[in-house]
Amino acid sequence: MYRLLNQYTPAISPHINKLPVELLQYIFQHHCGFETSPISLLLVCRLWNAIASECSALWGYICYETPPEDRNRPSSTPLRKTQERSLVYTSWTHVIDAAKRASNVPIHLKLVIHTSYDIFNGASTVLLNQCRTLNLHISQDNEHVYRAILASKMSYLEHLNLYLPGHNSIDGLLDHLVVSSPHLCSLTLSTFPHRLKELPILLERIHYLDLLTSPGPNDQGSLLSQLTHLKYLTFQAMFLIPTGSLSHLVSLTITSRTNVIYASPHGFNLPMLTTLALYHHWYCLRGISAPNLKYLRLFSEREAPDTYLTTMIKNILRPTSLTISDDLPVGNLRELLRGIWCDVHELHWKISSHPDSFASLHTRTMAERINNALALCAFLAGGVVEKGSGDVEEGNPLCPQLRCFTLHLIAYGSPTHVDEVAEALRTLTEKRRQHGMQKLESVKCVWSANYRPNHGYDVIDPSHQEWLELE
Amino acid sequence: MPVLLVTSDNEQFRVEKVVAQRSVLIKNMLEDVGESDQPIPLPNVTAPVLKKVLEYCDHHQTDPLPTGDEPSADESRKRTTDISEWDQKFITVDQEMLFEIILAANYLDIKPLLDVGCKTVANMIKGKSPEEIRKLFNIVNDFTPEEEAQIKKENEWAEDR
Repeated sequence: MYRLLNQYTPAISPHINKLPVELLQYIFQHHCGFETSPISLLLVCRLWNAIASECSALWGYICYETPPEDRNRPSSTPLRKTQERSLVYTSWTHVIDAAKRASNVPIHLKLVIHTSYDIFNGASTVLLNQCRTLNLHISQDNEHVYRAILASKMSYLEHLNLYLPGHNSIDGLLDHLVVSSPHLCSLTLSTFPHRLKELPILLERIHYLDLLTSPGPNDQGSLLSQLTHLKYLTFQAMFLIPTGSLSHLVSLTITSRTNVIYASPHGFNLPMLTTLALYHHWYCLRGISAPNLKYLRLFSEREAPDTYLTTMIKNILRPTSLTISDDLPVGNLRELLRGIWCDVHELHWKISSHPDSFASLHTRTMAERINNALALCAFLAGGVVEKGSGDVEEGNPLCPQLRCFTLHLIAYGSPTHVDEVAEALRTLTEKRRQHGMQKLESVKCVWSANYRPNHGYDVIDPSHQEWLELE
Repeated sequence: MPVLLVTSDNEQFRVEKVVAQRSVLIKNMLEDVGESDQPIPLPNVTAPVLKKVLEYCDHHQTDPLPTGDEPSADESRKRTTDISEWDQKFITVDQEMLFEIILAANYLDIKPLLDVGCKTVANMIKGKSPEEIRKLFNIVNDFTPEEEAQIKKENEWAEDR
């Protein structure tokens, strides 16, 4: 490999191949994952081929998916590429080969099993015992498969992500995991683990917990109160948050869509929390004390917006980076940015239209939302301030520490308002400069037409190239 | 107390100690020599590159320093949501500067900056065909037709059929 590197002379070598081998390897390691394929790297040039071939970590992400139909038919396509050029193996033999290629690096294995498919043999046992990450997506009629997998020896397993349909219980298998996987510290579960709260050894190890389901608040509450080392928590359903626990939590995401979140009547303190994301029911902000919060993300609220201001103004969250989508009235946002959020450094606003019946809870049209965006731009530019008497005058721009402001417009149809918004953003930049404010290092907007009604908050962020730079 | 840094092209930069110490290399040098107003030579870094690196260090001067007990690399990749807005803006430079920054971050031992640079390059590669990657980085295809055919054959199980 070094011989190959020496064949390049600085005068003719492309910039990237001037990097030493270990840095190219480091870049390639950042490239690997379930969504990427290392095959392209092999075919770029001799140097990249040599580096990628020897970079075992590149081959450690293995996604295996059973053929969806005839289970006895030999697969003629052992591996297929998705649009993102990720590799999905459809032949178990090639999975075992790939694991050998990864040699002694940890394996990250994703198994998507649609049909009854017997994958177990001696090599499978060795492979499972190499796994650091195991993602299982297993259909309802394959309970025996996930039971067999979870009963295997997985000495190096750290991250276990179980997506099991129905209400299959994993409780009986947790005791085994406590013993067989001493490094297990991260769980994503679609089935509520009743038994988990009876396993203090495992509870002490869990740093990351993503609960996709729950039977009720009491079970979850008692579970949560025991997870004293938890750093990352995501939950989707009703939770009774107890007082006095979660002192190590750095990231909290609440994606509850239909259930009420009950905070402790006395509130609760999250001294280490830096990131808080709420997808619905922002009012559960009430009572949260997080003195080190940096990132606050608020998405897809559907309750009466007039209640937000009083709720939020009462709490003491002072994020430096704020991401908001949808229905916060711009007047309320202005009050917050003038008040407790005046020190915000980054402000990101996602604005969506909802053209379908699902939007019956959303009363605003895209035009109204664009008007809100323009109004916010005006406030940040030090625009009009309405006084009690109705007088109008120029004021100081909001958020003197603001360095980054982005608008993400999400809608069906053509981007008819982009020019208008872009002009407002340019004016905002210029006005702040005139006021001698902190220089805005990044002002951008983008229009996405890929809004999906049932996943409105889940719109994929645009790539870097799609953003319109407005400085 | 400010620290004086001297680049390979003999330009001097006077920076606050807290900013310079984002570099583990400089931090260790300062600890070795103790309180001193001697300039610190950085023979592997030119002035334009050091200026960019110091811009990064200045912006991140209050960030917690890496402690070594962070989650493993794959864990970090899973948890973090790409590169921060400011860092993206910072690293939007031409390719020559991008790779110079990566080299400087490696030499000066500034891991967060090294990660930003390497993630940026990895993102540029993501989803591209070999030909697109070559075009992006101006890399010459130096395989003989026989070699290329052999590699494709060895990995034919990975080809679309």
